[in-house]
Amino acid sequence: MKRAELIFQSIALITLAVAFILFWNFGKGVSFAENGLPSGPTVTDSYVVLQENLNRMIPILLGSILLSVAIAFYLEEYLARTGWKYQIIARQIIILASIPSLLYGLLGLYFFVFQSKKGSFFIHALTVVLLVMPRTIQSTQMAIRSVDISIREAAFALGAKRWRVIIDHVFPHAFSVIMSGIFTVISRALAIAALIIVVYVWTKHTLQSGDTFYIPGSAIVLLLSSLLSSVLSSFLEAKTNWD
Amino acid sequence: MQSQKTDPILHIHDLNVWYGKSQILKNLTFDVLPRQVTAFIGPSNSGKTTLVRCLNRLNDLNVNFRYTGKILYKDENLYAPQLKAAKIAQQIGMVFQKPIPFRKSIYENVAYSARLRGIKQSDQLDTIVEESLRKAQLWDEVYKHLHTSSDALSNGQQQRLCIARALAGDPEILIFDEPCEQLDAAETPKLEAIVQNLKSHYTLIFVTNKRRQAARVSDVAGFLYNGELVEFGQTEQIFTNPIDKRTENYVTGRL
Repeated sequence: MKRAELIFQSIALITLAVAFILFWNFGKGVSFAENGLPSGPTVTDSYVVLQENLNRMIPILLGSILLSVAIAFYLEEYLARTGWKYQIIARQIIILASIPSLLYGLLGLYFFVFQSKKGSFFIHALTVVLLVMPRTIQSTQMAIRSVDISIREAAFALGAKRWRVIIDHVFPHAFSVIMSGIFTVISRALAIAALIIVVYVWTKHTLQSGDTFYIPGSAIVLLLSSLLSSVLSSFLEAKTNWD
Repeated sequence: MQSQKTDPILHIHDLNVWYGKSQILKNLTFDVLPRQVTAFIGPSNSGKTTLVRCLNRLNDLNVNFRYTGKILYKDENLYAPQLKAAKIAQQIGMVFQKPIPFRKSIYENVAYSARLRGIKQSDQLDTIVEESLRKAQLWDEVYKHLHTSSDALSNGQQQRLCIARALAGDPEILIFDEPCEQLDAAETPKLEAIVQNLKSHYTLIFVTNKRRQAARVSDVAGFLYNGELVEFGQTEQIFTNPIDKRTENYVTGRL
């Protein structure tokens, strides 16, 4: 079982590495036009934008992930689950996390590409934070909850303080689950970033002479309706969770 | 007669405990004397575990926990705001029903609680680990591979490791919460022997739902039934000449 997993993972890693090298070396020359697609954006363009954006995105990404893990630990270990603070924060996180990440992407696209002249840093960061934080907090919360209560109690019964219990026992036990959650979230964020970059490059080429957009308008309608449905679903979840 | 002269280490007066709206313990009053084994017997759901978890403040973890009455530990209120729960838990140790070794080596498991009380020198740690393991009668079985994982130990050995770990914290009182419940029959006499040996240095509180075991290990016993302390007194008297009808029924196996 272990061996099969190892083989599978190494194959996946090698495939990824090969794809990355191919993209890095040969991606520059290929254009959509050559493949019979309309208008002019090339992969080169998306590649340049991608590089620019990754440089900015990585620090924000790392920062927001660390902050999310800290928030999740604060929520689960320091706040009482029935208290009003926990209820308010956790409810907001459920609502934010249940909105499809594509909508955050479109929102970000609208604000930092079409509204400001040269993509302001703040909006950029906000998009990444919205994309990453709620889901990371949620998955970390689940990981912390999965740690058996008896381990915590055993440590408390020896006279360990709360922060020691977290560092010595809860975190090591939850670590692998936390990491898997983080990677799922990162991959999702990257996918959305890629999508936005393609849309961005595409529109840069097609919109030369004051064409109108309907993406933002429909995005807002989508956003509102999804917000409504996620509020509803979180309400239902809260209802069923209470005994 | 000697026991009546010594001051109680724990004095519980009119203790009521609630979890949320349901009352678990009702009007408990008793004293725990030092260097004795105090046993609590009773059927399941009679509040035995809740009671001992009050005594080392493990109930603080439960937000629904609420109590009235007095718990005095060495004439000091156990729940006084200036006393930290961690400090209390260090002085009043606990061994749980299920053995819960940490995912560390045998040595690190025992050294953990010594480190918690601020001991850092390795030679000092070595002596504490050896002493604790000897007291828990595990040293002879594990001294050759102290630095291997505790997962390899049998269930009974893990429970004794937990006892050693609790002892390394240098507690005054040690609580055993049904420690034999998940062990096989061969381990039970070993654990009872440990309890008998520890009696000379520690105050022990022993919770069990096996009547005979309580009769074997304890000096003083209390019978809990539906959250009430029906009877509390010398073990011999409880088992041979109970005053209350319910105690008699339980002791003779009719309840």
